[in-house]
Amino acid sequence: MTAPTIERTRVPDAGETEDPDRPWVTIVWNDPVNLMSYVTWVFQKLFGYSKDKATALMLDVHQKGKAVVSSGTREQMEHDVARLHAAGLWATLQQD
Amino acid sequence: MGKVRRRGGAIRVDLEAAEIVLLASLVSQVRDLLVADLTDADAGGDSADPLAAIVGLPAGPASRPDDPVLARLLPDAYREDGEASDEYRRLMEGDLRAQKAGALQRVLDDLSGTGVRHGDGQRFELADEAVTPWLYALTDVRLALGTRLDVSEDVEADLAALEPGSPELAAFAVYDWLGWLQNAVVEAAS
Repeated sequence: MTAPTIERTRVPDAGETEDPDRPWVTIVWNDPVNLMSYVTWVFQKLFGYSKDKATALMLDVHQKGKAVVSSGTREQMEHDVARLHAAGLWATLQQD
Repeated sequence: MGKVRRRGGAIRVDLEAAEIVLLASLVSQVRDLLVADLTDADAGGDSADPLAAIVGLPAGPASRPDDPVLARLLPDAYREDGEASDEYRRLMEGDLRAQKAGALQRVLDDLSGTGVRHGDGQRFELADEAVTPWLYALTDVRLALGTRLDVSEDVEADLAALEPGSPELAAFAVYDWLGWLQNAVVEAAS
């Protein structure tokens, strides 16, 4: 398996103070088709997240309807969205 | 029914003959949808990108596809910025279609060329590098079928709401089987 790897900043924790630079974020939205096991696998594979972190993000998507899965520059987020779309996940980017 | 498990470094997928025919048919339909639509758009439209025209590449489409299946396979990249979504799509959609079509074709090639006879069907050994195209292709087939069937997260409830004898019952059974197969491959790969 191959996947381009890029430098990325960590996903901000809830309650973290607002970054004045307002980074861009990639958001994955819930959809009725994708399997929970598959979404977890995609997060591990594309972002190198641990099983625990990938599972927590998947559960956020499933239960809250969406989750921020990565943050960084706009170009990095466009790249992440492209990879998530290739995997069939419903992903968008926006400024945080 | 088929069987999936990890065997050494590979994932072993045993499929019955009818399952292979069904899967190949669905995979090729989704591949054709992704490729044919692009060809049509190219044939009919003016090229918006002179460079793309010079090098013989189709200009990317500038807006979300009307077909709900294609709209789901090729979603907008920006939720609340149509202009940015269109620009992103113009640059990226061709690559995305090609990637998806490539994964689907990979599965078709594997289904037609790599199996060895096993009982009533065939046995496929998926090496690591095959896992991603298989999972991506199964996802796109499930997205296509799920969108056509307008499934909710509760497929049991969707099924219960169908009229007895509904022609969609068979399609739901296929959708359910695809979900089983994909989950089994994910579990074996994890």
